[in-house]
Amino acid sequence: MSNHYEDNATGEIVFWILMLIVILASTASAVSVRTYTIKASGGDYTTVQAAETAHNQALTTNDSALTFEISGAWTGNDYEGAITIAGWTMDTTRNLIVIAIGDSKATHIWDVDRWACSTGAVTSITVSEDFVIIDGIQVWQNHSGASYIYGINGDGGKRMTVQNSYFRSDQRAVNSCAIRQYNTGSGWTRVLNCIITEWPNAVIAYANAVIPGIHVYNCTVYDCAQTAFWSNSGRMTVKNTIAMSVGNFLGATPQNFWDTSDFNYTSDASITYTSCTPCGANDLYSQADPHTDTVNGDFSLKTGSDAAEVGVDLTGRYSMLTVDINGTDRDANWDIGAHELAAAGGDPDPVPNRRRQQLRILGYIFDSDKYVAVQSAKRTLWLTS
Amino acid sequence: MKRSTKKLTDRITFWVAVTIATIGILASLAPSANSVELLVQAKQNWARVADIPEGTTQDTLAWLRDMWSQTHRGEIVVVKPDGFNWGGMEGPPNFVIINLPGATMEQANKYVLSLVDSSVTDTPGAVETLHRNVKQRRWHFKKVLIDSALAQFAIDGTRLTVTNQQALALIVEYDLVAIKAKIIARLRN
Repeated sequence: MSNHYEDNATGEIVFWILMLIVILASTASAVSVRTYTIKASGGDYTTVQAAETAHNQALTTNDSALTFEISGAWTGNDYEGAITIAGWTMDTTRNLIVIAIGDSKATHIWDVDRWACSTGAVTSITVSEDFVIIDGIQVWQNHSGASYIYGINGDGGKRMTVQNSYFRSDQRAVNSCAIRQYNTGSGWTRVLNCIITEWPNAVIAYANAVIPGIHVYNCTVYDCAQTAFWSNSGRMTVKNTIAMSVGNFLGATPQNFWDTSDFNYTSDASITYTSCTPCGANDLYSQADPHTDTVNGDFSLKTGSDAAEVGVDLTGRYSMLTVDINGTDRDANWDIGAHELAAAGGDPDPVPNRRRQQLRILGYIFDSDKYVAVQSAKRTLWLTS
Repeated sequence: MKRSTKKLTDRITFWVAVTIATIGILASLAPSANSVELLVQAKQNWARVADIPEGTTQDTLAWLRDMWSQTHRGEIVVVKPDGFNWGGMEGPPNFVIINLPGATMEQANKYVLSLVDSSVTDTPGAVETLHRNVKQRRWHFKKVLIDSALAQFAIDGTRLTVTNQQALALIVEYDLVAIKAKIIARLRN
């Protein structure tokens, strides 16, 4: 009997020792993940820059990952100025994510009531560190300088990911671009599901003879008078991407390697890749504009667009591309560009609040039962006088 | 007659006093025109660089980049209008908020400009290429102001208000020429 009890007790002790070891081991190996909120009101911070300054650290040493989560309602008065992410130490898992969610998140159409970085500084967001992920933001660059103006400047920062974001500029300074990667090292910088409009150039890889460079997948580029994509000496791969009303799809003097670029849709009459075989077999040239309403910044695909259903499935490369900029699932036949036409019965696209756009209805007389109703998903405005 | 005159005098005196007090209270409550609040870094950077290191050109350029990367105590992070609704963590120990009556947003926004070396072109590659953006901020407040703001917060939880003149006396512009001279001297050694 006593042996039986002793066996039980020994077994129990062994069990709990093993459990303790498992718990300690899992604790020791787990990266702590902390999230700080950025809100116009009621959050930890009101600006990304303040959060960046407060938590600037060696994440690798502290074995932690940070998320700066932007949420809630914003207005044009809340726009953030220039941001610099620099002076950190990160790796692939102990990294910094800046993400806008919910009503703050960018969609296929510019929305004044979503969070935006809007600045007159030369660079809207400077990223000087590896492994930074930027997701779901709006950037409106309005610096009045003559040249070299950037939306996001990956200035020495490598392996940066920019996704589900909307970049606009109305200054068109030459040699400027929405996203620039300078001095890339090992690992790719990724530009995924992004809309870029009214810039001289969309994406520039100034890689300084260091490869690899940038993956531009499922992006939408519109009205870029110089080029859509330009690379100095690094590689750039462009897939499933729309480039309309651009000076050229590629830079004029590329010294680059357009590794397996294909399935692109452009108004340009041709795309001549350099040192790239096979590339471009499925590109579509001299195409008509596939978008719903570019004048009002709406880059959803028109129903029946030629850019729909002709892309290539990139799930194997980046799992985050299985949804579009709105978070809508891509169906079996991927569309080209940042926006995926929803299948019949699917979730409708988000409707923006264009509060800043003036509505003028002149020369009419209204009364209580004769009126004009202006409806949106967010509000209904009844005009009775 | 004398009594009624005194009553009238007292009543007038009373209402004058009430009016003056009301104006004073309203003036203190109403946001003054052209007033801003500055979110200022109060802590030292976690990886403060003490001085330019001995070493190769690459070391020096790396140091320069680090110096640019880091924000430092006393540098102004964000400028907002008076009465701004700051976030829950936008205060000590990481930050202090300095109220600056009499300054406009346009005037105060210069304090968040970067220290840029405009003589450096944006074309990398040359051996002696200095980084164009030398520091994140061109200006910083003296330590005494940060210490005062932290002390006041510790005592009564309020933020420090300084006049424009006081602020101008306590804010310092980094010396680009001196920084460049040090770097160039090091590059040539």
